Amino acid sequence: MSVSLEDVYSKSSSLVHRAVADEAILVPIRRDVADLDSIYALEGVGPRIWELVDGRRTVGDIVSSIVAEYDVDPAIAEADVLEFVLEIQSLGGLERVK
Amino acid sequence: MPGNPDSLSEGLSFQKRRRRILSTSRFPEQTIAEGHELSGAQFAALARAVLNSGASLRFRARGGSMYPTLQQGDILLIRPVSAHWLSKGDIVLCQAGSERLVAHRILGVGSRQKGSRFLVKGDHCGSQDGWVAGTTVLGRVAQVERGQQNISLESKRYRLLGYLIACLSPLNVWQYPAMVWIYRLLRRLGSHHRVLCTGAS
Repeated sequence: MSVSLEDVYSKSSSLVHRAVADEAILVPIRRDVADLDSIYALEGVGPRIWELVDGRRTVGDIVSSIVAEYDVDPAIAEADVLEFVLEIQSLGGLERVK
Repeated sequence: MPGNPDSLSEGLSFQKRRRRILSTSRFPEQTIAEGHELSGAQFAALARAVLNSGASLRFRARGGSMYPTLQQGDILLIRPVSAHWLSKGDIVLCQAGSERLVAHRILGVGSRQKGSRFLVKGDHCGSQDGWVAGTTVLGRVAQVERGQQNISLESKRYRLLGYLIACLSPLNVWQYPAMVWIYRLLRRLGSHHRVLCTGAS
């Protein structure tokens, strides 16, 4: 799997997510069952990146938003967002739509 | 997370945050069970989101309010169900008071014409939770995993047992001896039935 800045992702329907306080909690649904023994928590900038994934923005747009909102070097933000997307995609939480 | 030194990083550099976005931490199995990671409100929000999506919910039970039917550490499977299909004896995941979710037994069903409502109580509790609205019921306990055992509470035997327990539940003093007696009787009838079937074949 690889991710490029032109890719567009949407949140997978095989996963339930809830924002609670500063965290986003993701619960994968497998065979129509969500197992609370197997959940993922996004902390720090993670929930913001997750929020920005909407099926319309490209990965590059998301990087630009993060750079605008946080005090961060664009190269570091890009590397982190790409890695984030790759990681969540490997969990089945994101689907590439374009 | 409270108590976690990393939580002090709020407002600090992105570098500090960076380590955290990359760690999509998978909760260890036991911490969920003990509720150290998920607060009651978090659990309720997730349970509601999952069951409203139409999927079933699997989690580890804690507490002893439904002992011996449900025990500490059992893994429960909750299926979403319309309040219309619930009946006396079913064990439901519902909101009893504030935001607390409990898996307790239905002792009574209120008039469906005025909107469903249910009288619920834990088998091991001295008092009832009271009447709860059908809208606060998230789902029904369908299966219990205990060690190597998988117990279907949707089987005829367990539904009958559940109904009888619900009938006896107000008589707390006699409930547990009666439950044991009923359970043994059902097991005996079951084995007798198997003997008859074997004999017939």
